[in-house]
Amino acid sequence: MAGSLIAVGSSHAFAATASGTQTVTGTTQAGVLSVTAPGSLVLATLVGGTSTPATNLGSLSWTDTLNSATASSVTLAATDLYYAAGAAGHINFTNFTISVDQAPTGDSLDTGAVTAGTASQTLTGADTTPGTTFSAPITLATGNTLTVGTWTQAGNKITVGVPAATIPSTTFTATIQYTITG
Amino acid sequence: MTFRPSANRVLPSARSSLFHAAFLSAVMATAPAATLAAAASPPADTNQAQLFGVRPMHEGQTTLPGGHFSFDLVPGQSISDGVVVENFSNHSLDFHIYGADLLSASGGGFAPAQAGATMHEAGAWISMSTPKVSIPAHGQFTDEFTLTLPTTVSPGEHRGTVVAAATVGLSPGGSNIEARTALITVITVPGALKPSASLSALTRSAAGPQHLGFEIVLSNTGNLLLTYVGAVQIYDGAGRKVASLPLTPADSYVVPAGHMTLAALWKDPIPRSGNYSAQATVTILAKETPVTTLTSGSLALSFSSWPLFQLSLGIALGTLFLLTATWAVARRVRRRRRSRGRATRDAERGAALGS
Repeated sequence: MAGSLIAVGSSHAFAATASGTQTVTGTTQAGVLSVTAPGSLVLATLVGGTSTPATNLGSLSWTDTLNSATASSVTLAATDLYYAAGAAGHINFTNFTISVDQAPTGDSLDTGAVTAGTASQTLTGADTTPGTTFSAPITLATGNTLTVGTWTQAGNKITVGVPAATIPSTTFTATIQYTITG
Repeated sequence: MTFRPSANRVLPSARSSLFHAAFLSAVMATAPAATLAAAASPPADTNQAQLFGVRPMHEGQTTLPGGHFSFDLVPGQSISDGVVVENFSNHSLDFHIYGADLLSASGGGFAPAQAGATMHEAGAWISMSTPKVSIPAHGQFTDEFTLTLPTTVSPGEHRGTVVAAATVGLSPGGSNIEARTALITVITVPGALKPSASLSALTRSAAGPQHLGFEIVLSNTGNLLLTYVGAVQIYDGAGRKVASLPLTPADSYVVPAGHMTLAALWKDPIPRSGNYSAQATVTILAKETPVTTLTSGSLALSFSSWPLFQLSLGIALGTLFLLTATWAVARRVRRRRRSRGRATRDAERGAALGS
C-alpha cells in the first residue's frame, strides 16, 4: 500500500565537485477504500436464559485514501444465529448487543479523525428469513469529509441473549458483515 | 448430553452438555487467534495490510468531485463507468459486485442496502457487467457498469452505492464473515432542489445516574443530502438559558427520505427542584450551506426535592428513634442497678438486725 519512491539521477563521483542537486520524485498509489475484517470468533457456550459474556469481535481496520471530501461510515450487520426453522431453532439478531470500541486508533500520518458509534447498540430489524436476513446496520465509526488514512477498532464486542427455549446441544451459525462506505 | 434450561449458573462439568455457537473467521486475522479459521480458510496472509479495496475506474482522470461517481443526468439518460476491485490478500477472493441504495444506519452512519433487498433508488438503476468474479491474490479487476435513470424520476440528489462484497471466512459449520466496500454514487437530476427536514418531538431518554438524556429524530423530507448542527437548550422557570447540550452524532449525513436519531446528555449537576424546559434547535445544511433552523416543541422538566426530603426525614427519624431507644435502655439499666442496690442494702440491714 505504500507509495513507490523513484530516485532519478545519481550523486557525483568526485567529492570536490559534489555540489549538484539530486532530483527525487515519488509517485503515489491510487486512492482506495479498503477493509480488513476481523479474524475468527467463537462465542462462549450458549446457556439458555442467560446472556453470553461480552466476546471480542477481533480487529477491524479500514483505509480511505480516496481523498474525496465525502464522509465515510463503517457499519456492522448480522444474521441471526441459526440452526433450524422455528423459534427454538434460531436466536434472533435482536438479541445481539454490540459494544463499540470508543477509541479507534489511526496511523500517525492520517488526516482528520473518526468518531466511534454509540457505545452500546442492540441490533434491530425484521428477521423475515431466519438464517439469511441481515439486521439493520449499526454504526461502528464515521469519518468526516477530511478523513483520510487507516483506522483500527480492536475492542468491539458482542453479547448474545440466549432464549431459554433454544434447542440444546446444537451448533448455531451466523454471518457478521462489516461494510466501509465512502 | 443433557440441557437444563433453568440452569442459570453453569458448572464446568455441565458446559459441554450445553449448546454451542460459532461465528467464523476472516482470513486475515490480526489480533485474535485464528483457531477456527485455520482448518477451513486459506492460509493467513503474511502482511497485515488491507484485504481488498475499491476505487472508481477513472479516479484522478475526471473533473468529478473527489474522483467519485457523481453524475448529472436527466430522466431516462444512461451513463457508463466502472469500478476497480483490488485484492490485496495472498489468496483469491470471490466477489459479488452490485449496485445498492444508500441507507441511513443507526448511530449516524450510512450503509448500502443488502444485495438481496429490493432496490428503490439508485441501486435499481445500476447494472454491473460482471456481478460475480473471482480475483486472484494481489490481482485486480475492472468491472464496468451502466447507470440508467427511469423516465420518471424526481429532481434532486439520488444516492446509491457500488458495492464489492466478499466472504472472507467460512467455517465448517457454515458461518461466515462478509466484508463489503461501497463507493457512493451521486446522481443529480435537474429540477427544483428542495432541501427540507423535520423534527420529531423532543423526548427524554435513558441516561446514567445524575444525568438527563434527550432524543429527537431528524427526517430529511427534501431531495438533497443534508448535514446538520444542533443543540438542546435548557431554560429555567424564568426563561433563562442554563445549559446548551450539543446533539450527537455530529458530522453525519441524512440521505433524502432518511432519518437520524440525535441525542444530547445533560451532565451538569441536575437541579434538585424547580421547573425547567428543554428545546432542540437544529440547523440543516445542504452542500455545506445553512438552509434553515428547525426548533422543536418545548419539553417540560419538573424536578422535585421530595425524594431527598423523604430521605432526610427518614434519616432524622431513624436517628431520633435510636437516641430514644438508647436513652430508654440506659434508663432501664440505671433503674435496675438502683433497685438491686436497694435490695442489697435492705438485705444487709435485715441481716444486721437479725444478728
